[in-house]
Amino acid sequence: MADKVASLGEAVRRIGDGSTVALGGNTIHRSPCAAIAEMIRQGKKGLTLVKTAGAYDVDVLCGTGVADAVLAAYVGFENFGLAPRFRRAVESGRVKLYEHT
Amino acid sequence: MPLKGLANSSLVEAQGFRKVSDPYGGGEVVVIPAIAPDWAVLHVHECDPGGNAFIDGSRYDDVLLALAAGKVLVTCEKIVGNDRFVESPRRTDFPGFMVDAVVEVPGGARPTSCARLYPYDREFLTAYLQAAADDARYGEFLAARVYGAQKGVSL
Repeated sequence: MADKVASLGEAVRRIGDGSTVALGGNTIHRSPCAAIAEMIRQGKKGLTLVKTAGAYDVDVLCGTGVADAVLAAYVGFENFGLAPRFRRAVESGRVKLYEHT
Repeated sequence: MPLKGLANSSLVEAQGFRKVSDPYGGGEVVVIPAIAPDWAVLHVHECDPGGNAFIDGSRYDDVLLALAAGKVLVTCEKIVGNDRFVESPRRTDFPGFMVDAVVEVPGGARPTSCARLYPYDREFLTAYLQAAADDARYGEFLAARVYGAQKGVSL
């Protein structure tokens, strides 16, 4: 069995700028937030995000200029409210939203 | 991918989805382009070093995302021995051959929840949304609690 264990920095460095990245979890549950923080630290650019129902993950990647496009059915913070940085980025045209449902 | 349910939705026009004739005689059907992500980035409960993964509680769409993506990066609460999956093969939510990188990050879903381990972080999410209303405060919040967080450790 191949050993695929890597450090967070090393693993996230393999994701190239401009990649299409699907994020696991659902709204405020089991989102890969440590990996997302590392994408921001590494200054990733031009990512297209894929997420059924996003929240903090999609919002912070839009708010930090990492994401240029989002494919999603919903982005919001459930009972906490709307996703302000995602909304602003889509309204200004900086992030393109592809809504599929 | 055919989607009968979109037939009367305005999304068809808004997103430029095409229609095809059902070759089995069911009339017109909307088809949407398949999404083929370069990467799926997932946080799960347990992985072995080869990438066999176990998710406790709801799997949401994680297994589908792993199947659809070209490469898969998995962070996990705990790296466990392969014997855990050999003893109980049904624990395998997606198999290691789909996985390209495994990283142990306890708390790696924070500030979101991880079933049976921790709830979502109400204080963080509230503070994030308050800071997001103002550019200067948002920048400070990110520096203090996102960029500034120790590498490999949760937010």
